[in-house]
Amino acid sequence: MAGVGKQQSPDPGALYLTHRSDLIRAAVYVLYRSGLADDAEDVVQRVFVKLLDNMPANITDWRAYLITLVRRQAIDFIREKVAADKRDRNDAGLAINTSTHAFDESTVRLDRDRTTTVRQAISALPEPHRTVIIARYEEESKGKAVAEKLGISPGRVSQIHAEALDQLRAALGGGAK
Amino acid sequence: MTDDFEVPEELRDVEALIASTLRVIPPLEEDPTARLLGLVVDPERELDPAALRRVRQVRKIGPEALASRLQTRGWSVKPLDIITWESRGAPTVVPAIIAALADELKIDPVELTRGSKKMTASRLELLKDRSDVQRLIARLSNIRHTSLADAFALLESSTTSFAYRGAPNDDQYIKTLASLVDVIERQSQNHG
Repeated sequence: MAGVGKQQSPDPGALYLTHRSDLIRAAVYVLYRSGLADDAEDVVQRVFVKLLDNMPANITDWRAYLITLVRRQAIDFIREKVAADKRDRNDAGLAINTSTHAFDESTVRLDRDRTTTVRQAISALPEPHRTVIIARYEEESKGKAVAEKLGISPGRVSQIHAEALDQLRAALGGGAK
Repeated sequence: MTDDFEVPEELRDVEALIASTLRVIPPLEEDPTARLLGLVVDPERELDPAALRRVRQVRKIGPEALASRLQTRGWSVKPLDIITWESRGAPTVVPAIIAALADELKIDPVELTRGSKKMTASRLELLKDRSDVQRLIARLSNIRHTSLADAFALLESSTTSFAYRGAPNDDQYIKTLASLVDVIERQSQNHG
């Protein structure tokens, strides 16, 4: 088992069990704008494969350390995909977006507090805005399905969706338009 | 991911934030990294309670000291867990913890395991294929961020006392399970 023989280092399995939700979400956050969010688990796995090979000692804040590793791995992953995409299509079909996000650690911390803060902001949305956001991002529903569920047109769903995101941005301090 | 919602450029960052927060985390059983790290129960091998007790006593390490060593390695294990594993069996202890125990006790992990015994089926075991029971287990797994096996074990241990005495039929038993999961969910929300 990795981690054995190096003092101060927790077992990788224990670290993963404790932090995996935060790590997968951190990967999704970086990958999302490039349309690669479905690869978040793969990115996190790459980080742990490296850790099994070389477990560092004397880390004081493992969560922060792991989130940093995941974010870097996610950026590398996007770059790999962009390079592969360019080779395959002979153009820049996949957008690279590894720039600093508006909601980085200085704005909303990438930890459990962030999850609580964002969930509270979603809970505070009026209806049907809250339902649209939950359906879109938690249930991964299509716009048409959400429209049928709410008995409104797909165009209206799209409008409510944009309004909800705008309200969330204001509530979470992501800056004005 | 859905692709029929158009999002203006200025809202893309908040969209990524919302999408990452609401991302449904897969159960441990469906997580390849969890399998890689030994966090999924091996249905064919389980911790051998007698072997654990015997080796621990030979090494003169008390339950508190052993739990403390596992805690240092990052595992959330209490002395009572060790005592429970030794006295009642430990079918849900994952391979990574067995490996950590073996490492602390200076023994090969294989010597701390045995082939899994199929115990008398509990009431929950008998009902586990029902879709409403499966949904409850999945819900509890999400609330507690545990594997489906751990959620099942938690539900099973929480309901042992009333499983055969207080609930006269299956539907009432499942209603009681649902109430229990509601309580656990509320407690979880109250603790952030």
